Amino acid sequence: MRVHPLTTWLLLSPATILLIALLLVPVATVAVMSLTDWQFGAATLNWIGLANYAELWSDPVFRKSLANTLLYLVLVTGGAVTIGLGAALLIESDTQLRGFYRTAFFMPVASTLIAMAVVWQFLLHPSAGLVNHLLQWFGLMPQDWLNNRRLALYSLAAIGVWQMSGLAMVLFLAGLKSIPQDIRDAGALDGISHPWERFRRITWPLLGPTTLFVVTVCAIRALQVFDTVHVLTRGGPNKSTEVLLHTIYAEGFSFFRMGYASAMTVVFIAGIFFLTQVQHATMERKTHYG
Amino acid sequence: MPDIQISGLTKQFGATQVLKGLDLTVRDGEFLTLLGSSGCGKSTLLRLIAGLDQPDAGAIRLGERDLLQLSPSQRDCAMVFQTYALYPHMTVGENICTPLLMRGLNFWQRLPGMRWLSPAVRRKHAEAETSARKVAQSLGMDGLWERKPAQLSGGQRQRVALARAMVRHPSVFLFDEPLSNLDANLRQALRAEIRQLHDQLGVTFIYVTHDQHEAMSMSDRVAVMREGCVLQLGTPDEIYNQPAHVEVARFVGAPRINLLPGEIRGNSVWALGRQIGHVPQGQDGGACQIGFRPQMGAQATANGLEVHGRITGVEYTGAELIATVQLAMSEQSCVFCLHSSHPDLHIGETLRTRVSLDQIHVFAADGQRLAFHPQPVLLDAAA
Repeated sequence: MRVHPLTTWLLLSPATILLIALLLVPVATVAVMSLTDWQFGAATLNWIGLANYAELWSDPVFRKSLANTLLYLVLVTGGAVTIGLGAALLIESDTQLRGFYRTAFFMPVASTLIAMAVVWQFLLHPSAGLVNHLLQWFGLMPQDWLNNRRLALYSLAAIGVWQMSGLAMVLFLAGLKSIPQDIRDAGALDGISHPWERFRRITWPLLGPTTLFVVTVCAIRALQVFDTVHVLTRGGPNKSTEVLLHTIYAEGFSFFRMGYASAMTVVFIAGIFFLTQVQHATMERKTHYG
Repeated sequence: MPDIQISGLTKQFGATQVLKGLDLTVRDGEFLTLLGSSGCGKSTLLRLIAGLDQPDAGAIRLGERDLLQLSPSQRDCAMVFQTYALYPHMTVGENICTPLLMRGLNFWQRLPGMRWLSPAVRRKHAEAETSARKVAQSLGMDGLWERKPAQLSGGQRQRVALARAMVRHPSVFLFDEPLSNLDANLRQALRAEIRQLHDQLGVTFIYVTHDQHEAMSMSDRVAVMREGCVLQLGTPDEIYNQPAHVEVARFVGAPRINLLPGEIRGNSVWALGRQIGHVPQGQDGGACQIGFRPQMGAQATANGLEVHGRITGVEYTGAELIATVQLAMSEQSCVFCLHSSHPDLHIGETLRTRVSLDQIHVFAADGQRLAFHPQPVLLDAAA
């Protein structure tokens, strides 16, 4: 059957229009804005070329923010993958209460992080918080988790791990399910029977595609951290928890430097884009064991 | 090596009893096939022999040794799976070497990097590779050494699986429907290869299949299983020509054996209104089943049970014609394989033939085979 070219375009138009209006135009606008010195609410703007990017390069706040974001990303991804995989292996090894553990671990993923951040604020409170009470009970020094310059980012990362490991666990559980029983049986006959050997020689390699996928998903999510920072520390103390999205937000909506914030956004989008590409590549690799 | 003795083996999964006190002796060096439809427990039995599952009751002994006390890797069994079960992240070479390295090296020697630190480990690796290459070569796989399983065809994968099983010279090979995922031509070729391999190695092969052609063409002996029990254990010839149970007769042979209702009066057997022979004294009277192979209807024989009826279906297969006939004297249909040069047969015509009494099997009401002595001369129905 021949399809009239106009019909094709007509059918494509809703998706095309939405894509252009909601995605391409805003991104293009941000990219163009990053080349100007536009201030929020200002009537005029000047074309300043790559000056915003040059400023970014030498801006200590941006550098600090980028470094913090990357550290946060590494901590959260590493923590979530480790805990998620450990939990998945434990849950998979026993059939009892499997549903309960799965739900319990997945709960933080489904809950709103803003609301949960408030709960964490109570838990980590220097004098009234449960965490410090527990530490004291064990005879350890209480800490000011969110206001100590050296601890604040790690505290936020711990909350990030708490939130993300459920997602990692669910993905790893799916990955474990897809490992054929026959391969484990063949391993048992070949002498791969010690749990550690089985993990090292069969489970972990066969989870490879899953792991790559989990790592990229967690990394993208970690890159987007904002809610906990905004609610709990506002980037402080002394910029020690300043992360990219929060810096962009502060530059744009507190200091009204929209051009500068746009330049940061472009860098941010580039990072996300890169991770997404990695993720796509890993998704395709999934079939390679076929 | 002694025989494998299996006695009283019972296995239950949830509420289903898969094996019900199964007894079986596997002779040293024989090719034994476990044949049965799906769910008969044949794969479960194989997994219990391999040690991948533990039975609820019963024993598996290899001479004096109690196999149930040994872990799968200590049992000296190698297994080939329907899904090949190759390690997808390893090359062909690594796959074949794995059983040797897992046995030859201890826990510390297997740690990553030990190959570079210890000459002993390096030597073990080299030895493993030499013998693995030899096995790969014998199966014609030497060109594929560096490939990953995903880059191989089904037949090549199954050869790698065979090589991985052969490389450590086990005393028992276990096959779990190894050819089921392959296409018909390849299946035929590999069937012959596996049989040759058995003749070469001279060790025990236990082969699970639901394909009667595989079972009949490859095995020294066949164990026909049904609902967790062995119905008959015998050579392919015994299984085909002297089925011990009506279910064995039904399962083996294509097209399926014809079964007609019969009756035992005293010690004489009646079918289609005629007395066709005797069974030994002491049988309960009453209903029985008589069976004859579709191929037997084609033979011209004087002393035969005459059957005739209307043809309701004709299938041409090249070498033969398969005719379905609605019998005139009974509700039953029978199937006959006739030589394809047979005069034209059409649906609706009448087919008249004789079934040689020597070829008739008689089964008691409980399905067991009865010794049957055919009438020397068939008497008329009226007599």
